[in-house]
Amino acid sequence: MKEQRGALFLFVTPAFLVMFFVALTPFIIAIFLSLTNFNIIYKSQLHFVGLENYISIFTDRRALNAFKNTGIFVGVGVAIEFIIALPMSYIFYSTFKKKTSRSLIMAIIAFPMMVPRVTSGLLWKYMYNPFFGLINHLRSFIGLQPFAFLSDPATALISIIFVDIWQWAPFMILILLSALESLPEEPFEAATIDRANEFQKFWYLAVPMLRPIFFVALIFRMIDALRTFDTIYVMTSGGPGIATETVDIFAYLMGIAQGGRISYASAVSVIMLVITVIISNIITKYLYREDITT
Amino acid sequence: MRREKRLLMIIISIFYFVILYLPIYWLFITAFKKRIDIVTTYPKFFFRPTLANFEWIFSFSQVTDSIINSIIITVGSVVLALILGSCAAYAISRFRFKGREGLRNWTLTVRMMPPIAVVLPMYIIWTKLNLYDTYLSLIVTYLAISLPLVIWLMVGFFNQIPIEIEESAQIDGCGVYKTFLFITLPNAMPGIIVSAILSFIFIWNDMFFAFVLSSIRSTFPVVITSMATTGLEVRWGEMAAMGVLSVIPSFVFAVFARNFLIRGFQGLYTGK
Repeated sequence: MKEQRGALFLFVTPAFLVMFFVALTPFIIAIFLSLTNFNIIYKSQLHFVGLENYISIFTDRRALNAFKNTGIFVGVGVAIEFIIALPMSYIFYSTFKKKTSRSLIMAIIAFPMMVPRVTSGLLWKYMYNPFFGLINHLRSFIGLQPFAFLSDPATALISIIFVDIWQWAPFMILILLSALESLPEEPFEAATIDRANEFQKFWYLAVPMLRPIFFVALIFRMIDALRTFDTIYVMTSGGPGIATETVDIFAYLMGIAQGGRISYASAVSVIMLVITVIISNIITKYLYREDITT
Repeated sequence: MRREKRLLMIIISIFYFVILYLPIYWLFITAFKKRIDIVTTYPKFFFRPTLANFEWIFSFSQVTDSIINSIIITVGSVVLALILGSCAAYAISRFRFKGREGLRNWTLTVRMMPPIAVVLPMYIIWTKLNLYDTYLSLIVTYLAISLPLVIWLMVGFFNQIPIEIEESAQIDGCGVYKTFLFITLPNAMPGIIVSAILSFIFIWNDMFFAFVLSSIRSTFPVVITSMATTGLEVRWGEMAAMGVLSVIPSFVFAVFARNFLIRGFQGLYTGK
């Protein structure tokens, strides 16, 4: 028993020390900084300003715009991904029954989401190009004029959301497909004997049985979508104007690239952190309804 | 009737795969196109392939250096994350101690933290420690970020190994460490491969942390970004060539280790 004690200490400590010092300490520093007037360019006397940074966020229209854009990006993107993924996962499930073809299909679906976000962002920027991008080529086949999707504030954000959908709807399909695999087959067989068609089996059997996993898929995807930086940065860097500026881009520009206002950027990111913690608390509660040792 | 339905389903699936892979196909052929075949009024599907784009990008020491940096940083942090992570996961899975569930819970929270909230203080910390822009700082940063992922996955794998194997080893006189090293770890090999693949892809693909925390020792995605966002015009052929290089690891995993990969995604998001 004594040996186990020592082993426990030896096994757990290094990993958690690293996480504590590299991941948790910055959190605490971020909260501390958000209460000061720290600026990396104009070095003035460091002093506490209380909640001033937080209050000014609510009067800063650019900051509010960033929160609004993040909300649209996550809300619209994740919703559409879910609407695509739900029927698609059932189509894959009912069409490809063999184990080998199933694993091949899953790999085919999984590959696009393993493309670096930098690469997929640039690729789509190239495809959206008004002069020689593939999308405008395709549009010209049906007689439409070329259109600069990323230069028009009205279409820039939705064009980026489309990239997110392209890359991450496969994620939801993968989760739902593996959930479908783990369902018992008997209800589906019974329904087939009762002459239910595929749509009925999907709507009255698969959807209700999958409902618990919906939540997990949606929340994991939301948390990932909340921190999309690379894609947006390489595609528009927040432009045109501030049309595609999400919270992460805004905080980066404020804190490092443009203003050096680290304390203000920290306040913005602390709010982001609070939002994420709320969402991740929901998910951990949900996941732990099942016994963790299974 | 059933056959027609199946055919319809297959057509829908193929349609989806076309949408999914048309951009990737376009990336690959652009990488082998001359500039004159890229800037065209009509899309060119047939052209004389060239390696000029790859020659151009490899003529920059910045690019070759960043690929080497990426490999060093990724391999370094993956190896460390596997060692530290599987030890911690083993303890969480096997030892009964106070706060055990809390630890695993907390691990998940670290995985979900928004990078922007930690990257600014990290920047200050590494600068103050005089470690800004070193391999060490990036490896440790990526280690901390991929540890939760490895721990989360490995706990799931260890839990599936029957404890009786270990008990019989201990009856035969194996200590805790020997049991872990020679009995449990070999049995958890699939889990280690899965964790290695997923954390490799995650670190290799990430641009954000290296973007803020490095300038000379930057990784490949950072260099792609800086070459694409500076200058008046973007050299699309060359960018596509870099894009092709950047997806090689994922492509290799998807082709040669797809079952591990899929097992990993499942483990990551269902906690089993």
